[in-house]
Amino acid sequence: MLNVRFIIKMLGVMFILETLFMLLATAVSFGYKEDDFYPFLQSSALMFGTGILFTLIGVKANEHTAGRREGMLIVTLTWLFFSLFGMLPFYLSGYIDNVTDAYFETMSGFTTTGSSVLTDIEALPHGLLFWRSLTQWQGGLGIIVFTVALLPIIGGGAIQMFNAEMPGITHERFLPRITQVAKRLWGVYLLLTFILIGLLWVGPMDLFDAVNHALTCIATGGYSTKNTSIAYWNSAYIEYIVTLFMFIGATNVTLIYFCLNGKPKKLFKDEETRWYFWIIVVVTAATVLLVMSKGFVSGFEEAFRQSIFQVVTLISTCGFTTIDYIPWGAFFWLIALALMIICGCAGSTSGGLKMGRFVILVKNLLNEFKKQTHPNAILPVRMNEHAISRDVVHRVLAFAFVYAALIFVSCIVLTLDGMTFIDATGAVVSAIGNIGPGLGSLGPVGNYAEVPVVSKWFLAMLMMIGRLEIFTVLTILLPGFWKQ
Amino acid sequence: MKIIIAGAGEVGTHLAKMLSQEKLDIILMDPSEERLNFTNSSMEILPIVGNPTSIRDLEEAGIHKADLFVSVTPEETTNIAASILASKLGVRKTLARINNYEYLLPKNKELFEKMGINSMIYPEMLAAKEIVSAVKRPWTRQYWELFGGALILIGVKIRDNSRLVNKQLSELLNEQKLYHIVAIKRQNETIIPRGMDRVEAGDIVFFTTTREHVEDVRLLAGKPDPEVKKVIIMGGSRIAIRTCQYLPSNIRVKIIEPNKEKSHRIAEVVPGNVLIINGDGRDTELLMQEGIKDAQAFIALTENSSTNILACLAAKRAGVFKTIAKIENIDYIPLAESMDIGSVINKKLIAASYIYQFLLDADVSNVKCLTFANAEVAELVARPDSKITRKQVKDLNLPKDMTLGGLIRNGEPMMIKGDTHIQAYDHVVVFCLDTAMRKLEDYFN
Repeated sequence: MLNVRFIIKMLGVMFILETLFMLLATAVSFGYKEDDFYPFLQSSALMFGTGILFTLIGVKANEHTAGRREGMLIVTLTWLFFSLFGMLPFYLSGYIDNVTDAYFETMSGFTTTGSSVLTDIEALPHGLLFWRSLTQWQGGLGIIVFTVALLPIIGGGAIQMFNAEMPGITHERFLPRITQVAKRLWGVYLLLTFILIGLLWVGPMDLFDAVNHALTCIATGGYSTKNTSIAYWNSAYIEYIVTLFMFIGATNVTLIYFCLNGKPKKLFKDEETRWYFWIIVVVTAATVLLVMSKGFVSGFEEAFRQSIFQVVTLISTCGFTTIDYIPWGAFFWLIALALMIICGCAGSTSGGLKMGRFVILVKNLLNEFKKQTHPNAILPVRMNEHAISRDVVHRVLAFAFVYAALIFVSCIVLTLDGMTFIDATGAVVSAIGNIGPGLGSLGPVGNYAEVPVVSKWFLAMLMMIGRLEIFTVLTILLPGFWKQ
Repeated sequence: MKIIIAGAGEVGTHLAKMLSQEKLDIILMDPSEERLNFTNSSMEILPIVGNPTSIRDLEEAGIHKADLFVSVTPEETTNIAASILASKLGVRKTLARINNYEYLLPKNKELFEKMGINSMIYPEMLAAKEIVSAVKRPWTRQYWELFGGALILIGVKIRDNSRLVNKQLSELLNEQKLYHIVAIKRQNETIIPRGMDRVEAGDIVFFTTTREHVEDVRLLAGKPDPEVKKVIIMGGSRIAIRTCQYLPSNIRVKIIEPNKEKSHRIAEVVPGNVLIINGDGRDTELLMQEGIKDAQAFIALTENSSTNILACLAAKRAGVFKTIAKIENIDYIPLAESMDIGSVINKKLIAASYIYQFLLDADVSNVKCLTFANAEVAELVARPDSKITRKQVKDLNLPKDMTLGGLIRNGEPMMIKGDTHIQAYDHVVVFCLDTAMRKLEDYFN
């Protein structure tokens, strides 16, 4: 039996918590005295009311019988409902005039994808812009992780939800209690955000833009307050700072915590982090050579800055833009596609396949080659000098397969809906990996406004599936989940 | 409080699960990753794959900040070595599981303290003690001494012949000063009874009483009290040997052990009242020959839980009054209880609850818990001005899943009635279902 009451109660509690965030945006709106104040107030009231109602319905829930299935359902429903409530300010204020676009925009926010349907971002009032950025910031580390950090939810339910939301290959905890872990992760996240706000504010940004960009940068989301994104400032300082923090955003938060806690070795010796770093170095070098030889930009410094920015914005799944890379040609598109599939480290705010899984896939493949010549050799896959259990390797292989299959099937759906091959591929890879810009007309300076309606809904779902690392959502869709 | 448990075997795993529900930080360490896999799914336990005798692994687990190190791997030498290392690396207290009675002797305590081992646990010995207590009072299912014996907790299976059957508890009120019914276990459900509840045949009823009135409880429950003169033990395990050493020498004991060499070895260590029979305990003819008809108690202690259960049922059929089975599979325990097996011995439950008590003693908290039948028994001291001391018990509006079992005032045990007024510094025994554990704090602090 599913513990429905527990699910409803948890949803209710999370709506109430989320209302606090929405009130924050309401306050910004009030401060700027713009026309989105009442829509915000209405949305907050609706969300709070639903939260109270749900909590009351579920008040007698038995927490002890909540298990795996309840955890997966709560996480999935939370993301679906949050996007539903989160879109209300956009829709009610009339700045986005249809439900499809509003939902797409909000889901793209919470999942830190950063694909936008807005053609003129700067026309939005400050409150809505801040709300857009705030959705990304929450979605970055995770809504549930935040809830678990704040509320004394105990027992199996909390761990299930935490694991279902936190991206990663295995869910290693560094402290026995899940609330302790969640608190520390959020602490690190907050600290990084404040540092970045300061650094951006010192530069040519004003405080409002600094806050917004810090929120979306550390979450590797990519929403900007300007139509031309980071290129608006045309500042080398801002671009380097943003590059650095996108890089940090896609690094394992737990390892950053250890780094701050006096164990920097764990971060710098970590194999996944090293691969992540060196891949960026190598791809950046190749890109510099490409743009220099073809003469897309003049001067080494600018070539380096643009190259590293594009590489990091793609691999970290952030999606800020400084330049349109579509004219760089098919060679760079493929590099971009590869980066968009591999993505940042496990346990970070990044999306995609994750570097850790990629490393395991590569090592496992090399082992298979060795086995061709030494059929009886026992060759475990090693990470950080520890042999990885075969279960984990199998799970990674299955994940890689389902990832590839899902991309392929989704491309079929989108092309059926009338999109071109390049657009569809770029959009799908971008949505499932929570990146933002795609290829073709959906490139860095492009926009999702013209995407057909069905494709928009499909992409929105794909973003959520990708953010929750596929298995959580797909398992719920399978009939086996609902059978006793 | 941070506790590191080394060894994710049966005892370690059970202990970790129990403690993780008490808001303690539990780290479970084992060299085998597979054995730790269960923690990922739903337990608030931090698993660490590592060797408890490796300094690096201990440091990785944060040993210098831990309050307690419990080593319960199957190997005694590993446990001792790990505890010594842990203590030198900075843990506050250590506890090691051992298999050697010699180590527990009081004269050796100082030696072990010097080495850094603060406490030791010998699960086989604890199990043997529990068996002996069951044999001494064959009519009980559970027999526990609380507050050092001032109050007694007894679990009895009630049959049709008892005066209690089908009576409402309120009808028994006039006798309440002698005993108090704190819990009733009916099938798989544990009830904290109120005045309107009835006792049914087949229930296991838990009483608290004072030492003088144990006999009254027995008569009330309609139980005979045969004197145990002859005991048959099946399986010559370590628990069997220890049991023989603790049983009074006027009881004749026969151990049936199929392995010939083992039989010889056992014969060398047991006292003179014990006879070793080399044969299979499942062989009915052999049992008849060895006089199972005149035995008052049959104890099945082989390694196989199902064999033990079946052998006990067979013995019961043959007319043995008291059967005791060692069951290591926790899920089988309710099954065995419903099948008329007198007492169940589970080494890991015994060991885990012993360690649990040790741990709570070390803590400032004055809650002491014994787990039985999904319910908890807590020994609490009423603080001055706490809620519980303000009114008479009947006016306190205690929650439904909680009852007061008795109290000790100035060293005198007393039963609690509706008009009892609990005073500050009374030691009170509280019974509650595990749901009510947290409410206790409200009443006593």
